[in-house]
This record gives sequence, structure tokens and C-alpha cells, in this order.
Amino acid sequence: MYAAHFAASLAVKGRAPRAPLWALVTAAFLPDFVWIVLARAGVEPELPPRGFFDDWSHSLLMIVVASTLFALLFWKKDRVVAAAVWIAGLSHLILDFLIHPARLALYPHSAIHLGWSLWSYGQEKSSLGPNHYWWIEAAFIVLLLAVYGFSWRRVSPNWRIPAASCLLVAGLHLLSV
Amino acid sequence: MIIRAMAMVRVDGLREITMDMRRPEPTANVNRRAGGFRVSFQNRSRSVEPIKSFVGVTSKELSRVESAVGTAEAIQQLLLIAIPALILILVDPGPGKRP
Repeated sequence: MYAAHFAASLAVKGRAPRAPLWALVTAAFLPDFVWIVLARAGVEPELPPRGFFDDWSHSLLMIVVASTLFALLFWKKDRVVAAAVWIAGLSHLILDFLIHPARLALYPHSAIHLGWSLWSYGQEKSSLGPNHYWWIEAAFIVLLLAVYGFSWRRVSPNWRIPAASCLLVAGLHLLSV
Repeated sequence: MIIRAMAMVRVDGLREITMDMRRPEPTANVNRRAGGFRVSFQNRSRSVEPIKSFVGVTSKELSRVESAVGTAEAIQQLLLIAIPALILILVDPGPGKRP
């Protein structure tokens, strides 16, 4: 998922306004940042003959470890912010649990894999145009942006900022049709 | 997104390398004095085809091009996250700055 990770960081931002958005976005994309580096280094190949492998960046254990380490950077300054960053990091696990190129491993090289293997189903075209993956991600985005929008409404009557943020995330998702 | 990545590849007689990253599978066009070639990654497997006066390509050249495509892909993936993130951060100014 792509735009859904931005939506997840905004949803956490809505619930914890003190948390800096840069930290939430970084936490929400942390496994992908690790994956980009490891894929480039050849540790997590996506090419034949070794096939797709992302246990070091996307296994349950490694996402928890990476999120915890990153959240600890904020622990001394503000524990609420640290908790928000931790949750943003774990949101990656929840969002990738449903659809991912490979089911998420429990830990690197584990035989136990978690998550639903909806990848093939997700790639199929739906009767409404884009593939099922796109629609599932859209549903998550709507839900997460609703959390963000309603949280904003409680603290400020200004609707322009959340509207602009929501439009940007929705636009990113529309671009991926 | 087209990334012109000449500096990233050392191929003898190289004039230009153009990577078309808009496709789901990236393609690199390598133009050199001794005839160009195109490297494409369809279904994640590499294929090489000649452009104009093709005179052969060494495995060293191919691995350099492959490496450059990999780097370009990584840069593209980082930019796809960093640019929207930067806009979002500018839109929502953060703690203590909300109206």
C-alpha cells in the first residue's frame, strides 16, 4: 500500500496533534525505507531466481523492532508523541497484513507466515474499473482520513488544513489507478 | 519519470543512458558510439535488444546498467514518499502551530 500509509500517519496525527507529522510519516513508511535500502543491497531481492523476499524489512518482529527503536527517540521528550510514533510504525503491519506481494513472516526466515494472501485477488480487475487492491486500499484511506478529519473538528473549526491534506492523499491514490 | 543517469553508468563510448521509470517495469536505453542497446525488465527478468548499429554488449556493461536501473528505482521510490510527505508537512504545520 502507498497512499494508505500517508492516511495512517494523518489519522494518528489527528489523535495525537503534538506528534510531528514528519515523524509519523517516517514511522509509517519505515519498513519501506528499510526495504528500499535492503533491496538495493541485494539482501531483499524481488527478482528471479531468488524471488520476492522482504522478511528483514516487513516481518512482524522487524516492524515491531524498527517502530520501537524509532519511537524511543521521542521517549524522553514526550511519551505521548513516542506512543503515537510507535502506533504509526505498527500501522504499516496492519495495512500490509491484508494485501502484500508475499505473506508477512513472523520473523526473518521464519516458516510461519501471517496475513491474508489476497495478492492475486487484489491484482484482478474489479467490475468498477481499478483492481480489487485499489478498492481495498481506498476503503482504508476513507476510514483513516475520516478519523483524521473528525479528530481535527474536535480541536479546531478550521477545515481547510484537513481538507487540503485529505485531498492530497486522495489525489495520490487516484493517480495510482 | 525519466531519469537521465549518465553519471551512474560507466560504459565504454557511452553517449547517453535514459531510463523510463513510468512503466511498471523499467527500461534503460543506452546510446554509445559503437551502437546502442535497450535493457528492459519485463516480468522482472532482463532482456536486451539492439538499437541501430548494435555491435554487442559485454556482461560488465550489462551489470553496470542493471545497477544504475536499480539505483534509479530506489531514488524514484524514495521521491514518491518524500515529495508528498513534504507537501503534507507544509500543509499541516505541526504541534503548537495549528490555527
